[in-house]
Amino acid sequence: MDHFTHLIHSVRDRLYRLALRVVNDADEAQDVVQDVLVKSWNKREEIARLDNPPAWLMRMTQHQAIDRLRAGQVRSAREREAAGPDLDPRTPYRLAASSDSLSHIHRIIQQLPTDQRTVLHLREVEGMEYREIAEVTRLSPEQVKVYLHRGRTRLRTLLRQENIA
Amino acid sequence: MTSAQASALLDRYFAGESTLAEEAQLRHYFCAGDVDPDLAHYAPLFAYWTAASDVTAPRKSRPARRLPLRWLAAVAVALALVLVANGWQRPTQPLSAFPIAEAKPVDWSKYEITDQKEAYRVLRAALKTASTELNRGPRITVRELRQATEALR
Repeated sequence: MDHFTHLIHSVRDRLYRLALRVVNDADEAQDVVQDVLVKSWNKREEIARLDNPPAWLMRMTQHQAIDRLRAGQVRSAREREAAGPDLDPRTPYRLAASSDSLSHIHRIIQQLPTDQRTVLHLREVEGMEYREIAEVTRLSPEQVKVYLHRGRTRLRTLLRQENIA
Repeated sequence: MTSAQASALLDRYFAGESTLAEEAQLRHYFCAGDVDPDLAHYAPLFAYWTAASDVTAPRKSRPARRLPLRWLAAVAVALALVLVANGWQRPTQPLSAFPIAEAKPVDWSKYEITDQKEAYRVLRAALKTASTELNRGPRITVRELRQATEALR
């Protein structure tokens, strides 16, 4: 149990950041981490035998967050359908509302596809090697490299379009 | 790091070819403050990644959702009223409707005394008991009347 507690303490922030990156909502991210912790507690003996328990927890968090994101998107789609057409997310009003450059960049990153966003996050925020990212995302290291390249290129393009860079 | 080195590293960075160490150098360069004006527009990006690395999971657990006590109380009262009204209106079953076990008839004949001496002994015991109990009642009555009379004096 001490081993498990130590493991959770060491990765909890990383799990939360990853969940937050995917679902982009603090409460939802907390729920994701909570779900992961409960499930991992039930499998703690199995986890203890793994070669890389943090990678397993990160992978589980990613899956859980994507599931929650999809459920939320389905819900949002139904709500949008019920509420009528929404505003373009890049309207001048919304740009002005998020004038701070960091929140602007955050919004741009959130426009990236989930896989690219996740790979970028694991590299830029968590400082993980390609091999480690591949282990979490179940992509090959080559795919990770491609996703990272595409993500950064896309980010550069979007930043230029938004006149930030 | 010179501007030329930073620019070259940036190209590697956006091509996805930089190492973690090179990316750390870039971050350090852009966060140090002395950035080439031509590259300054990339500074917010690296500042963003640095800020994102500092995010931590909330340590405090979120407050538990409070139960809507007023609503629960109202529901409880309504439920109690429904149950009371239901019990009030429900017709009570007549006593005859309740199943009653039939008592088995007692065969007294087997207790019948046939011996004369035994019959005499039982009769004598019964009369003695009746006499004792009959005398007991008046004795109690007389005693209580006496106590009442003394109390009235």
